[in-house]
Amino acid sequence: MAEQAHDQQGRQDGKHDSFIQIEVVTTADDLDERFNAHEPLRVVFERSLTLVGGHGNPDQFTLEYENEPLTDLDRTLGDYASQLGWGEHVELELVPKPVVV
Amino acid sequence: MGDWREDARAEIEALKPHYVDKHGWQPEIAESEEAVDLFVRLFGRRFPGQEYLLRLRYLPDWQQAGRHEAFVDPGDREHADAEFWPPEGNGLNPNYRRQPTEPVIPCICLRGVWGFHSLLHTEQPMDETATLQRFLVELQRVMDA
Repeated sequence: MAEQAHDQQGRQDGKHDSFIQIEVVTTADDLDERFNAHEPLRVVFERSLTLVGGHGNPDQFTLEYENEPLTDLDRTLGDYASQLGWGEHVELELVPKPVVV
Repeated sequence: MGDWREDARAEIEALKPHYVDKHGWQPEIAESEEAVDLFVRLFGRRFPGQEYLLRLRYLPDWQQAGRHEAFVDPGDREHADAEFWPPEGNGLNPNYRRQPTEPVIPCICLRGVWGFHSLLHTEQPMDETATLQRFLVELQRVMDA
């Protein structure tokens, strides 16, 4: 009983947040960091963009999981993990869109 | 400034195994007195069962002019010709001519290659993001899209 109460309190304090180790393969350095599952995908996207120098052109890149684009950057990592069956570790890819002039 | 050959080999050797394995590129280097050639095998979802062999030629000015692009015969890589190019579109220009009366100069219109920087878009210089790795990933995307 006391343990349940402690657990409940922990959740309210955010102490039981879950985390996901996310590796993002990019055409520059790769990202490999632990993220809180409550964070939106946008956080991972922006950290990855920094690595490729793409902050000025975010529309030229897409985050993909198993060759499928992850388009909703405002969804939480936990949502995606539930939908796509991610475990504690997942590998994504930051894909540049071809720029044809 | 480093030796242009060493710089060329260094960027080829830095290609990530993730992409090489995923796309089956099988990169190979061939060196001659004039050039360092990189050969990359390309397969694309747009062209089922079709194999293309890309040759990127590094010359002493490659860091300014880009890498000279050509598709060659997969069975005889000495033989470069427009007939070995994927169909035109999305930056692939196997039948490009400066003027209707001039000869065909096949070229790719993606950052990182000679066709983009030195032939078609001379106002857009090479920049640090125009890496071999990024060029090949973008080209693969064109082949798959």
